[in-house]
Amino acid sequence: MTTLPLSTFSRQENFHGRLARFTNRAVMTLCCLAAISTILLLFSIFGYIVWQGLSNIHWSLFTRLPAPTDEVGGMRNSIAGTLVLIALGSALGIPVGLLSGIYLAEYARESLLNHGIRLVIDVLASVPSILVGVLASQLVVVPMGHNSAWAGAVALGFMMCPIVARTTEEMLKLVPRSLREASIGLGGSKFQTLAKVILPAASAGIITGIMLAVARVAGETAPLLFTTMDSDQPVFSHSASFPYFMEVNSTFPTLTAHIFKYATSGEPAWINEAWGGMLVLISMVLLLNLAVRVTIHRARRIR
Amino acid sequence: MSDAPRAPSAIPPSPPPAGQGGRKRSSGLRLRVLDRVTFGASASGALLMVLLLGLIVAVIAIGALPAIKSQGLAFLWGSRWSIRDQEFGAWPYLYSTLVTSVVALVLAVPVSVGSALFLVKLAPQARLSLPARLLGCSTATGWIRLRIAPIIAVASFLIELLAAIPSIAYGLWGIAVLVPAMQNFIQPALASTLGNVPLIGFLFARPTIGFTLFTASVVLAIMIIPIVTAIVRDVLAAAPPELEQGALGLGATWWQSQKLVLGYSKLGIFGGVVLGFARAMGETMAITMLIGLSIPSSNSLFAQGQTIASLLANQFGNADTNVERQALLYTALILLVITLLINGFARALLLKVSTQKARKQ
Repeated sequence: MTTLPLSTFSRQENFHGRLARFTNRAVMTLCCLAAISTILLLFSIFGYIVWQGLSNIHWSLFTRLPAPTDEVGGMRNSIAGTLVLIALGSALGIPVGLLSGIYLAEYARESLLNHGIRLVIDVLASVPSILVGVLASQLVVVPMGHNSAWAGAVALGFMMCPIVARTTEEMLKLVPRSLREASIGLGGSKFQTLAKVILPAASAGIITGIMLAVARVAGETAPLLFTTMDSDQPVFSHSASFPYFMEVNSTFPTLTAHIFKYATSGEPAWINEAWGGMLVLISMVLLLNLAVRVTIHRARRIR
Repeated sequence: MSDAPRAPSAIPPSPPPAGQGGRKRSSGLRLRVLDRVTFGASASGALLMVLLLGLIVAVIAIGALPAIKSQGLAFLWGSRWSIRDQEFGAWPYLYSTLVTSVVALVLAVPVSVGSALFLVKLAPQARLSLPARLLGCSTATGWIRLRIAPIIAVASFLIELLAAIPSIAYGLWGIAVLVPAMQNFIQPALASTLGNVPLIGFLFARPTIGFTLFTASVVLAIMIIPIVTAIVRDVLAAAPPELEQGALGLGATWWQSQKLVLGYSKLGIFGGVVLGFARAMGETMAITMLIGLSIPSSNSLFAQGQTIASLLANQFGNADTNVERQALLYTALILLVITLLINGFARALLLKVSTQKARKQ
């Protein structure tokens, strides 16, 4: 019995052990490589965009209107148009998002129906943006008979709702239970608790959610392609029809649609301008995102 | 006399004291009305969300109705798109959409899972001692442990920030950098190596242009890596630590223990991958700028293509006839139904995974 060659076992052990250790180290290395190369790749893309943008940006971008390729043009109207459109879209999308966020966090019980609503909101957030554009085109452009800023605002508002709803819900749920209990214990009604205790406590988070939604739609091009289209005209004009001081009832300039038009034009001068505009767009989006992260971090740390 | 039993001490709250009675009652009423209004408004907001989903399906379906009637289901596999003959088939577009999304997933998923494993399982223990672990030292003796922010926080932050870069930026980068690189280096290299492998060789034939299905897939992969990584990271972080600790305690190597974790989280990971797939199918601008915008001429990945999303972006705004517009709406409906189904499935899966975990704890 004792003559069993121990060495065979140990050699086998050694082989398997060594194989396991080798695989282990190989997989570890691959994981590290994956993460590092992802970050490097994404940053090289980001760096390239910023570099191209910096070498093509010029003051005329902010002060002039689009011009033919042989003149110095700018994107003044597009930048203003994007800001106006975001404001219009926010006016449509944020209230709905806020209300449904409040419903989900404050009133919804753990029922199948409310899981369903949550699911619907998540699904809504991931509807391809081009289809939102198709929807707005069918819903607004076709009945009106022409392109308008309203159609673009409907599309952007549609995309903002679910984002605002989910972040609002999450932020309201972060508000400590003790605050609610204290308010109810002092005789506060549901409305008073909500308006005077919970919403102020969650306000930073809710604003964060709104900024996140704005950052998300600010870079959207697809929903604007056949709703606002693109325009070389200034946004604000004296000739605009009475109640508005903007040209909202015709094609409307936006930064993203304008960049798309220039980027695919094949004209070197226009492509260079597109890079400049892209830098403006990206700094807008990333600054908003940065602000969001910092605020969320603060909000979490306080609690 | 009948007021005597209702002395304040007997039934405390119901009859308010005489002096302030009126005011209190009215403010109570106002508050109750406000409560109702708040509830009503927020519930109708939630209801509106559900209606919005119904709205997008209904509007696109109604717009597509004439095309559905005239083309029928044959639309799905027909491959002719002729406005003059009023004959439309969406197969080339569907094919491009599926191929680019699948190739993007094949490229993105291993990288994403690897990155997520790194973020969740390797990075936290690895402030500065990571090189030591890689070199095989089991303990981190000799390495200075600085109190820097954990790598996971920084890297997650960076990856999420990059998910925020607009699609059109990737398109512009693709035109300037990726397309020439594909045309001159990557595609020829792949064609001369993988192109000769028996079964899959046909996928890598004829690299002559840079605006191809493959280029679009690569950009898609780059775009969905941050999304899939974030989901897989959350799923892995939610796995119970006992699994890993038990395996390690029994003498398993790190990777052997992680295989258990991956097995435990496979449903969640699958959900994340499916979400990435849906996202890839609906991605528009970068694809429109890179895919070449014409029906694929061969089975090769190095052929031009036209996804449903890019077809819509390119044609929907300037469709000349109602018939063409209706056919385009039909393709939009197909894309909508596919993405809704896939998304609903994946979200439900992820929701189920997370609620199951919550119940167990």
